Amino acid sequence: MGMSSLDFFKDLNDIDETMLREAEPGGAEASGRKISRVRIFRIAGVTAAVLLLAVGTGIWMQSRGTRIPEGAGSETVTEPAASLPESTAAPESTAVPEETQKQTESETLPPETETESGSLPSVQRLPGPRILTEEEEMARWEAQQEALARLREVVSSAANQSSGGEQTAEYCLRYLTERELFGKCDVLLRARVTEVQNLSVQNEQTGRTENFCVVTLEPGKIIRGELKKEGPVRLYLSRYTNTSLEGLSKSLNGVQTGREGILMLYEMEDYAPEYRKELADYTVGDNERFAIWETAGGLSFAADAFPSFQKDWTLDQAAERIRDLIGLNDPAPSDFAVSFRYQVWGHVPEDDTCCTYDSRTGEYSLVGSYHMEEEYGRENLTGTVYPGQVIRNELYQICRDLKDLPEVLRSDAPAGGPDTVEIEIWFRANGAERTVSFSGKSSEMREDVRLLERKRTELDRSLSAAAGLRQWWTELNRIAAERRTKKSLEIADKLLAALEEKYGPGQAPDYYLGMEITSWGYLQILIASSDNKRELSNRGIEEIISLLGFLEGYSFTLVDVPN
Amino acid sequence: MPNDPLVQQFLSRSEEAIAEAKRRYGSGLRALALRILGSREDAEEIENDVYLEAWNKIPPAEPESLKSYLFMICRRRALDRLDARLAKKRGGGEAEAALEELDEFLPGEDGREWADAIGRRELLRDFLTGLPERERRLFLKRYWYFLSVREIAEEEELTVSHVKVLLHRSRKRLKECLQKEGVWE
Repeated sequence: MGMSSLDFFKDLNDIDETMLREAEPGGAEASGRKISRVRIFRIAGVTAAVLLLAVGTGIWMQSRGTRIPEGAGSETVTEPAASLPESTAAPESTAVPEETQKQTESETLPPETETESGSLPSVQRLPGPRILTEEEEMARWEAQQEALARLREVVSSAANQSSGGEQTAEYCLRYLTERELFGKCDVLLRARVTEVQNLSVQNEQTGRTENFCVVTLEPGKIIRGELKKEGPVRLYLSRYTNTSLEGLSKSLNGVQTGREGILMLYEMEDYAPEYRKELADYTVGDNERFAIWETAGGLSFAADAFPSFQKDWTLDQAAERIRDLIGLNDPAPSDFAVSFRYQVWGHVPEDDTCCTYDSRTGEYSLVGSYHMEEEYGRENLTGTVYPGQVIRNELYQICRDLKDLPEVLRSDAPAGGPDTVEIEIWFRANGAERTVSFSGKSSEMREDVRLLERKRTELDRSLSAAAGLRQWWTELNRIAAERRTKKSLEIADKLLAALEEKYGPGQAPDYYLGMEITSWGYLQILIASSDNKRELSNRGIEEIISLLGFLEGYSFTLVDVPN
Repeated sequence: MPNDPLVQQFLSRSEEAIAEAKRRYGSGLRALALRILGSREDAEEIENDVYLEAWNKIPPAEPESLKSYLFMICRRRALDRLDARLAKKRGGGEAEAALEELDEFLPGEDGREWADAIGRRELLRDFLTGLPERERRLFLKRYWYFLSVREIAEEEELTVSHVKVLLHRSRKRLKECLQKEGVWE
């Protein structure tokens, strides 16, 4: 896509307000759109509330953040048959306090009836929220994915080897050193090609066709990084591989079933279209430089990109050279320690987040962000991790690149003004200390400052790749889920009390179908909805908001019910 | 003094101003950011940024319509983020599809440099003014609000094919307008 299209969009921003109002997307009632999800969330630092009306049923997914699939837009995704809580018994969950377990296990309430003895039974209360298990959430998510997949058209076509596939112009590649090429990817490994599928998919809205290739790899030895899961690796390439076009890259040409090579893989980005994420786990940085193949005639690779490699090497020799380049054979000094600090000011002051890691003590801390304190609790924002030798080597290599930079880089604008940044990277090794810093306008960055910025980004990546840190983040997420669950249960109690006060003990309005708490701790209030009962669901939402008196910490889920 | 009472709340630095703005416009802002970026988390961040930017800019700014003001901030920030993401070859949401639609109707690298910002905006205003009302509405729903074609069809009570035809017609008119102005030879 051309950059001029984006310029056009930006120019379109400041158009006449009258025209904007004419074209404003209508409310759900006026347009007849189905409200698929109403989401409430809280802005950090401001006790405020938002009533969010999702536009179209394409946005119905929950707290896991599943994205709108390409082409699905506001496709009406039919949920599986209304998943009304069959039982209010709460599944086991370690996050649920005992008193709440008792509450959630109460039965669905019938109207008052007399027992055989003539005395009224004790009035039962409205059931509390049902705690969803991860399995239940996963099952719902999978059902949604199946429904989304049915909306897309995927045409599988095998490209004719003699006729070639679609020709596209190659873009200019950014220059990267050998060390950067091997160091920037998420996973660097030896692997063998077991299957090559050239596919195409048609965007149902634009009508355009995208040709691409999915390569299945049998992983061998991992040189750097970790694979997300065991078993075959699926790789997405943005072009057909089996074409007869001249000038096709050595990397692409080398993709043949049975061939072994060293590949540089990138994890599929979160923002990739859904079908790509479904078909492949990894992609490449570019089609030119992603592999070094072992062929009958020697190694095959982009010579310009890997000038220090020899065609007559074996794959083992190439792997050894790579280990030298990225410092795996060169251990970091025992006293090596690194910390960095990054501050950015935008149009308004941003969080001042300071990340520190010290390899001697294994201490990692993240301070200064009130978002993180809110979510995880300040006491949990420090940890101790001991990354393995590989990570420490990587960190050391990253910092070694800074040795030739001047210690202080400045632009005319001091940090603290609009669009300024302040970066500081400090490291110590072999008894010597080095600090490189920059403050000023990021838009005025020179090449050496860009290098500084890249090194800070690589530090981020390396630190987050350390297994210990990953465990810490997993633990943080568990803590966050517990904290949210606790808040959700408090809100649930309040709502139940308010409903019973208004409608009577054990009674609930006709739109109210119960409550659930997700494995992430979010409270969802289930509201009956159907095409003819939109007014009912709207009224229900308004009433609940009014009963609670605030709009934060819970969501509504509209559940289709028969008319 | 602006007539919008909510703007007046901002001017008087009332903390309730942001809460009220969120209540009224939060859903629309998030939806717009989500269509551009395709990520719920990004959309939430952008929405938060919008309120803070408005809070810090009003005063001295005194927009006549807070709604339009917030939506313009939202769209600008989301497009800036999309811009950065595209530079790293990462995609966006509905905006990415909209970008592809316009590709062949804009000069791209082959056209001469667009005029200065004022000239471009005048050109766009003339183009939009010259469109029939329904086509202009559809054009803005698609390329300002980034509604999907299907959403537009539902809102306008047209078929998807009809919407596609009308949008295509508008894009062609845009191209003709640019060629007439000499932006595209």
